[in-house]
Amino acid sequence: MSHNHEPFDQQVGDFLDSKLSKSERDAFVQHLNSCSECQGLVQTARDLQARAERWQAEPVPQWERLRYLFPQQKSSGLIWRWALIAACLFLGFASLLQVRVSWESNHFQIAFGPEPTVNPEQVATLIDQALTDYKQQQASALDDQLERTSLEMKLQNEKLLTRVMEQSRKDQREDMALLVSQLQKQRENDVEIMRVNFKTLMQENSRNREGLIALANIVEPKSKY
Amino acid sequence: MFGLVNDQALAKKALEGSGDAWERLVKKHEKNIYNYGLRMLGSPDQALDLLQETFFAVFRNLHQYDGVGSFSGWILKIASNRCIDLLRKRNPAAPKDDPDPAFEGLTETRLNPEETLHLSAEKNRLVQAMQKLPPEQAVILELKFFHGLTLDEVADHCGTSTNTVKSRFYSALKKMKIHLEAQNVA
Ligand SMILES: [Zn+2]
Repeated sequence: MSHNHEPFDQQVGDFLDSKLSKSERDAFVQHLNSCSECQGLVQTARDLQARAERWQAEPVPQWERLRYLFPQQKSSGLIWRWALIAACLFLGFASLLQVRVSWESNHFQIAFGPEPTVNPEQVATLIDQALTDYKQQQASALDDQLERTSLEMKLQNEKLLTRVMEQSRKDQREDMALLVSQLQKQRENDVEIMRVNFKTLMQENSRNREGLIALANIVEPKSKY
Repeated sequence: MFGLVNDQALAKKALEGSGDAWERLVKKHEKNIYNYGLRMLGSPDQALDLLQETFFAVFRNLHQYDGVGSFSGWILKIASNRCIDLLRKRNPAAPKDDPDPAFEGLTETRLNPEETLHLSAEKNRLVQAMQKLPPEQAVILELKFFHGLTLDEVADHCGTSTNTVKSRFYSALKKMKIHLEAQNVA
């Protein structure tokens, strides 16, 4: 059985806040006495209020509160981000130009060759590898730098670095996948246009050829004379 | 002399470059925001992320704080906006309002299943139930019950009409009732 709760459904909050006028309140209470659903909701609201009052605040884990006051940390992150975008673009164009790139012992190996199909997964793996190497480099650089500071500080920075790396890597993969799929689409498009053009050309060619043969047939008997 | 320095004074000092003032200001409000994140997002990691992002935004916009209205309310507003963005991104298809009382999306859950909360059983149950509400409804319960706002204040906080907030409040209560009862049966 379905009740019409209007206008009482809109009044539950005001009822709880004691913001209803005397007459509104009386009508609301009267509705509650006859509507178990609204009654249940008022009960739920009171239950939630009680739970909120019992909620003892959870302590905040350690974090760097002063980070935002030192913009140089932020800018190094920015440079890193631009480096990622640059790497992403480079690999995108590399795939377009059929360049084979591999990441070997800390440097990129570049080759032009007939083994061109760069698939997004390969590129992502490549970038992952580069990122992992970079991360290792950074981690060891951090180690040296932080030897003098406390262990707690070190762990925190590494955790932060990991988070930045994971974030960047995820963004990176998404950017890359998008770029590669767009390049792929464009290439398919170009091939399709070429194919259509070529077909038209061929059709025209064969029509011309037929014309020429017909012409030759007409001309041939004359030349026998 | 100590302890009564108000938020505006701390904010001013922080803007002038006092790390100490900023730290005091943050420590005063971080617990509130972290617990808000725990209930809304359901994961300690994400609550900490929300906390950091919120205070990052607070610091960047500190010069805009005019001292009108409480500082905690201002921070909470920044946290709410960010939090709803995060939840929307997590589940863009979730309806803001329920088209009918048949509770579409009742089983929708916002909590990442591999993340477990190390909270007391009662807190955990509440957080789990909160995760099943659309973000726009969950935030109303959060503000109403955990921050003591009236529904008019919630409407102002969320930048929506009071009528919308009242309807969403009603829908949210209906869902919470079902989810909390289901937990009692289980
Ligand atoms: Zn009713």
